[in-house]
Amino acid sequence: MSMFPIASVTVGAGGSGSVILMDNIPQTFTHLQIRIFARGTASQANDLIYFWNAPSGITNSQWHNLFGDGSSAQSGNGTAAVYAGNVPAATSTSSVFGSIIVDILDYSNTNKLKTFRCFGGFNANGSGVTQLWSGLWIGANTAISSIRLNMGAGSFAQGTTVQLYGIQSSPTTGA
Amino acid sequence: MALLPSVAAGSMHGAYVPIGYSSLSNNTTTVVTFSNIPQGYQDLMIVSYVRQYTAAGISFYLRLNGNSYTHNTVILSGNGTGAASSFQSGTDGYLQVGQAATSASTSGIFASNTVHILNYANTSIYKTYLSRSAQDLNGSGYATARAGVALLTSGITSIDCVVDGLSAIASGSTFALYGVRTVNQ
Repeated sequence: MSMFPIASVTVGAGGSGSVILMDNIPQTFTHLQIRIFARGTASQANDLIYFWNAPSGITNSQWHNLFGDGSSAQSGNGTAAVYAGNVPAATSTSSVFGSIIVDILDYSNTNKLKTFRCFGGFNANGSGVTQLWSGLWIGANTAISSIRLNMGAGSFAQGTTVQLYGIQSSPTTGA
Repeated sequence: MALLPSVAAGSMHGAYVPIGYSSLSNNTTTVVTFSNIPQGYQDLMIVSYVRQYTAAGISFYLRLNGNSYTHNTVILSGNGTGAASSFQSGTDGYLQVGQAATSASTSGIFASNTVHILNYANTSIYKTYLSRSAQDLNGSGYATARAGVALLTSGITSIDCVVDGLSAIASGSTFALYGVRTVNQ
């Protein structure tokens, strides 16, 4: 299994707004991985990044998560969004960012619904989360050719980076 | 520990570039150090397979740049009967990033850890890491995930790998360091 860089986004001074878009994704890989290093600008302790599909978003979906906040382990579920995870926002300790690694398997397969697997978290020196999210985009068995990340509130802060990779499987073993 | 020779990110295929590797063949080593880490990658990934030789502890640690600094980790763990979350913090610079099989565990058992440090070379942000660990001791064990911060802004140029009490690491333990390239690297 080999992983190849496809796209890189770095948020500079002034921010990028609430959206990061990566389009024209090649359909030649087996899987995708997104490595997110982010912080939000909203006036709150943390913010939530979610996936978006223009023009109406990802509304027909399911998500489940498992997370720990330093005091307990919890799990939740819901609909109407596919989340990547939480990152620190404006009232969190400065210079702290969150990390999230997202895997989207068989992203170009047109016979399967798309599943998102996310592992992430942040620690603002005494507060934060470690979390696992799963997401199912129901009714979307089209190939993924663009990925749009939205910040739940505010914008992506300066210093945010997003890297997109394609993962190639072995033609022999499929591994 | 010397880095692998002729490591040049731009000349290698794939995003994961092996930078350093150590496989212990003795029971006396207390620290494995990756030094002179190139600053030209996007992220670092450390993969370890660890067992303690003398200590009864169960944790694996990284120290960045040989420094002391404030650090804090939020841990999510499951032990087969329940799930829990807790913090681990300190000022000594030793980040608790994963598991190490205790010296009392069944012979041949090691714990596996994968640690990601994104934007490790950035000199204006604190360093954040993610890790996943597995330690199954044939009847007991843990699956853990961690997110932590080191209040350190300098680029990461060296990493010390240690276990509880800076005690001896068992023969057979392995440590691999990778650079993760992005586009134009």
